[in-house]
Amino acid sequence: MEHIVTAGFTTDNTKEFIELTGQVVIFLFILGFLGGLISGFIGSGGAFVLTPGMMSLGVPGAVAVASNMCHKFPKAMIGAYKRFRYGQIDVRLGLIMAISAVVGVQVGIEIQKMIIDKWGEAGSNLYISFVFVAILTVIGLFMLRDARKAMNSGEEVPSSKLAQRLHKLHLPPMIRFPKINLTMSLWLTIPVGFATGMLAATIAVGGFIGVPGMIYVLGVPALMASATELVIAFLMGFSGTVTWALGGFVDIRLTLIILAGSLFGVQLGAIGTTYVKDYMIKIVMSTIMIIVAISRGFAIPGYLKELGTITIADNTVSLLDNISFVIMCVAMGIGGVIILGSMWKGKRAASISESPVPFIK
Amino acid sequence: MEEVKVIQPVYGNILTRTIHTVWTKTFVRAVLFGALSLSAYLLVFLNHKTVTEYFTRGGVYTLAVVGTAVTFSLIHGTFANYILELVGIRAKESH
Repeated sequence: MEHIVTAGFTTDNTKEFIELTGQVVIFLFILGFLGGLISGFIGSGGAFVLTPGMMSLGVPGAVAVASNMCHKFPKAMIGAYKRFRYGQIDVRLGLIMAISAVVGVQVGIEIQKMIIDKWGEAGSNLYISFVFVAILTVIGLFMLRDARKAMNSGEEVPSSKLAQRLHKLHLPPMIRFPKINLTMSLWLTIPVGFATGMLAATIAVGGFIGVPGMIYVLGVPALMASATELVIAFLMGFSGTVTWALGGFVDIRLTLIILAGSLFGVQLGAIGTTYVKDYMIKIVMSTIMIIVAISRGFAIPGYLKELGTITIADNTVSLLDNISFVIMCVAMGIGGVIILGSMWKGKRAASISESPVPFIK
Repeated sequence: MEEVKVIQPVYGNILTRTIHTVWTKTFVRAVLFGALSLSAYLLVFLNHKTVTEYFTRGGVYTLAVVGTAVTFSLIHGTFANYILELVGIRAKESH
């Protein structure tokens, strides 16, 4: 593959820009569309497969992360605007969470640096995979159980007992969130936002903590939580883009191709939320989380090998990596199918109930 | 017994005309923003080597990166919105 090396930069392969072929463009467009669809619906997601997807095309890790980040903030901006118009966003909550998340990102980056200094790149990758598997499995299973309960009863589950207890905490400053009709202590929202940023710095998808955190800790309905997450994604993505672009790591061509697909996807996903019940957000999110956790589990033996903890053939590591990537793509595909399927069902039900009755005089 | 008069056809004609006008307006806007989006993409990709060279210089060129991403999102995002409307994908009115 021919590489365009930018003049005046390092001679190593951390900042190389791949040649674009028709296949590359189509692959990125589809990934962008699916990532956008999921983001528009559950407020985050897509990044977990876009970065490895770009790297599988030969894009260096730093350029893949930077270009992905640069597509994330305008996509989130469009998605947030759309869902704001549907009355699903609490801007005040989004801004407070986003500021805490930006701090969380910086702390997360420092932790990553410490791990790299102590155990090297393989240690960092192992830490990332461990966080992926542990957090996504626990939260994903809990969320899926909760969503199934709501689906079987046909009613929305009231806010969690934890959230109800925490709402009684009167630790100033107390803040009123008009759209979600809740008043709570600032000290409840800051840790959730901070954890979102920490996870975003570690696995690039902060929403896997942010959305469940808003639902189960703050007591925000899933539809509003997923919409508010887009405000956080916008601000985190923007600050991340500026950081990466200052270093010249953004390949704007990759960003624009992904955007071409994701701007369709994110609006379709946002429209989809107006046709579904609250628990569908939980179903889609938990399903994706569990599949992604399984996918990352396949990558762990490779990192353990690099650390010298286990002995395993190179072919096996390569096979496991490929399986891991394919499962991630499957997670995205399944997420897309559930979203489009539930949207179609909801649209059909709505059109039946809205069918015109003949006017008679 | 009073005669029941069905006025559905008259109402239907007005509705059809209104839908037709709205569809035409949306179509014109979709074509306009589609052309704008295509031109912007062509501008970048026909000059991709130059664009890549400048946009990866860092520093003040960060503004160009951020500005380009936002501009493309507004143009292409609006185009995508009209396309979705044209194919009948709209948000549910009472959500």
